[in-house]
Amino acid sequence: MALRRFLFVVILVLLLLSNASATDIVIGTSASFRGPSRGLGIELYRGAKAYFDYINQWGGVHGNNLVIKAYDDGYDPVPAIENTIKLIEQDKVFLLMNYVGTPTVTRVLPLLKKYQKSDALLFFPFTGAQPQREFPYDAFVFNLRASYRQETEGLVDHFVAMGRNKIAVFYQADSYGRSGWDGVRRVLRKHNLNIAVEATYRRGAKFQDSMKEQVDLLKQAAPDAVISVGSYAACAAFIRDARESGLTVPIANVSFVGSENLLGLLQEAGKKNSKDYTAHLINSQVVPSYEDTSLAAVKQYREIMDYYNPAPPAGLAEEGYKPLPYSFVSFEGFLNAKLLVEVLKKMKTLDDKKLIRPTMEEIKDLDLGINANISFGPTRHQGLDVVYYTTVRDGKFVPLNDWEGWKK
Amino acid sequence: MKMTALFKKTLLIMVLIFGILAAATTLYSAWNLDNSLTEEYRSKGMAIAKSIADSSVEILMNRDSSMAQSMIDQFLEIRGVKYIFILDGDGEIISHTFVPRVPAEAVALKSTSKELSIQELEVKGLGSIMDISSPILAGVAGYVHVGMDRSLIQAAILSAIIRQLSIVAVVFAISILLAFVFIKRISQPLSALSGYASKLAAKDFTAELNVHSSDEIGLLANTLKDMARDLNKSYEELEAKVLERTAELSVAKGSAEQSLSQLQQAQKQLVETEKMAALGGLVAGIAHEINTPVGVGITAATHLQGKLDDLLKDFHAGTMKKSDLEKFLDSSNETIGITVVNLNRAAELIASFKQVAVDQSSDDRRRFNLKKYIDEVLLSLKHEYKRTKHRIEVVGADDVEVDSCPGALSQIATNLLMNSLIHAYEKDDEGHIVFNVSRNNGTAVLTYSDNGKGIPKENLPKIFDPFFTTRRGKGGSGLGMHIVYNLVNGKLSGKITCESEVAKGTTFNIAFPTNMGG
Repeated sequence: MALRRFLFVVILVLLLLSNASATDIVIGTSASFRGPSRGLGIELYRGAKAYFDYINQWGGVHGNNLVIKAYDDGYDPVPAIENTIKLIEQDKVFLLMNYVGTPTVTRVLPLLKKYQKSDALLFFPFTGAQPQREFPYDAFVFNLRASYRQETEGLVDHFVAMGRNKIAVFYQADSYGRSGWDGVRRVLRKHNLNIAVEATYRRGAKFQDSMKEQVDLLKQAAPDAVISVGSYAACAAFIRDARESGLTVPIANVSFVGSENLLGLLQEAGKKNSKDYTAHLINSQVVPSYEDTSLAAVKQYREIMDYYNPAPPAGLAEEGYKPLPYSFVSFEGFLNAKLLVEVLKKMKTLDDKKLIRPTMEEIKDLDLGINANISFGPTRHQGLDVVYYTTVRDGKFVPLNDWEGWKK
Repeated sequence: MKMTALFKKTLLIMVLIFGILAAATTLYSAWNLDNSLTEEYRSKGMAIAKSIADSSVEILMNRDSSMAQSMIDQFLEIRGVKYIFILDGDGEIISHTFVPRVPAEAVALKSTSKELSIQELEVKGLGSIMDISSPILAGVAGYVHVGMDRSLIQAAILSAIIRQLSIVAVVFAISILLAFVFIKRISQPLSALSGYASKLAAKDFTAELNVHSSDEIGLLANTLKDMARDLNKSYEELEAKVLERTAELSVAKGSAEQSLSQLQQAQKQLVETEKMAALGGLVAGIAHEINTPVGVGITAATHLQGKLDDLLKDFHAGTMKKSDLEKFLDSSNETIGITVVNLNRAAELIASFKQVAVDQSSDDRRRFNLKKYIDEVLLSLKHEYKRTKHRIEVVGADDVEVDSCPGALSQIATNLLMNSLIHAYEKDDEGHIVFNVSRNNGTAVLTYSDNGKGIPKENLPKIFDPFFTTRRGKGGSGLGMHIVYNLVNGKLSGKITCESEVAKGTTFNIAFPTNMGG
């Protein structure tokens, strides 16, 4: 550590002397830093910020510092659109990155098409929805994570394999929920099955809100498993109320839920009610578990997070949020940042934004240290296809390797 | 502040008018709003449905439904849109905005039309909905349903009604205030007028009226003032006239009173005159009655004197013969006898007349026999009926002694008899007149009756009235029976009644106490 600090000082001095004319690379982001889904925006930001801090400390990219210009959209499409316009026209950001949420991103996509001429690109949005993976918007978006369709496909396949054919869907009444619902529906079709029962909730629901109505609705069909496509506050509320009403079947959440935030709420409520709400939970993830320290990226992530421990974006986040030491979300933010830096490094100059896309599309079999190769191409704007499954053991989400326990 | 009756009435009318106004305008605007908002929502919903249907063709056919969801979510933000859902070509709902589930009412909506169609439904939990469905690719690729919230229309109507009613209420309040002020301005002069009028009614013509306005009320005030002036003048004139008339009346009353007393005086004089006349008649009667015996006495005495002179002459001449003396003595004896008888007769008459005359002119009381006294009275009246063919008798008890006023009784008997003689009979009638004396305990009863022509019924009640007579101008004074009535009631302390039948006769019953002192 002492050595690193010494090196940092040396390099900083060198940078200041040699590269006085260096400019900042401004990365624009709009995410939820407030409201029921603030955990996602803040943690995604923190993961990326930690890595950027680290890179900046080591001289930045081509001598330029990476700076994040962040706005809060509260997981609401309209502010997301306004923020995007501001970022492109006013802040003239280099590119957009780490947007959070399907309803927000889906609405921003047409804007990207409009700003085609100013080469507006969205990197690695925190959503697995289809629109930005398909024509015509895939041209303006690069995704790292696997899609919801892939996540739900994996979950459904596993449930069906365990003889759980009556799949219920609990989802957010918007394009995110619809995206997950659509994924479940498609894969069930493949198995000649239909969604057994479904229930929706309104976006923005809080953990305090009751999901009893939805639980009762699902219970009527006596499902074998529930796939939950929502935000962590709503999903945690649903799990709590499901368990309270005796619905004990496995409940699976997709990556967007923010596993640590979900777990935190359930554990807190469990402690208060002396109940365990964390049994039979399966969360699909699009990044490997940060507990798997055999992975180089996990080691690096943990070190950088430990060292920089970035604060939530100044002036945007509300008081009272306690940042998580590690999380799937900040790990994803970290990996997003790492991939961006790799791409930027490959670029001959940062003055021409038109170079971003071809450079990105040239990436082949890149391993960020997660034991998975990342490849992009003109028709491939999604880097990873892997879905990881986790479950709660000893108060933590750990990799799930054996589904046999849920055999019916 | 006290409400005047005028203000109360105006208030009532205003409440009525404003009530009707509020009800009418509210109804009208509610109807209007309902129409226009329904139309607006319909066209809005149709535009949305059509727009989604037109732009979702590609999305539906190629894509994951989250893009469709994103699109419909966008429209859900539009006011009035309660829900949107999309059915694919197989009729399956592939996107919707319902929480927590698609209601059965929406599932039941079967769309087959190739055009836009509108249905009204009641959805449990959502309320009144106008569902607008638009086919995608003529229904081959599915349908879009947009549910417009009718309750918003109702809420808008309600809020419009509330606003309108508030405005009406404010206007009402202002109008009430204005009306109050206005009416006060009207009613103040009116009260002044009414007060003035009351004062006028109480004949206070000095009252002041301070109303100075150029409207009808001012006019009324001026008219009232003029009227008051005229009234005052008329009143004063009237008062003067009344005083004048009163004075005249009082003069008239004085003279009437004087006339009355003169009349009474005259009546009294007449009564006295009548009495004197009666007395006069009595005296004439006495003179006439006494004339005969006194004349006979004088004649006898004169004859005797002649005989005596002849005798004396013979005696002196000496030619007297014994036979002459004898003859003289016989003659003088006879003559003296005649003279004595006649002079006695005269003395008797005078004594009788004297008693009646004295009684008649005095009010003295004494004791006398009623029947005997009536006889005496009749005797004194003999010259009145002596030449008639009437039979006049006094019958009844001889022993009725009374202590009373004989003068009054004499006048009564005289008047009754004279009345019968004058009125009851024609010249050659042979009447029968009876005085019947009787006694009933302490009461003497004198019943006088004639069998003359009687008194007509209509005159019977008037016979005791003064001056009532059927022979006015033929010597009747009309006071006779009035005097009788007064004497019976006054001097005798008795009662007199009269019964009469035409052609049968008349009866008077006089009852009086035998002893007035007792």
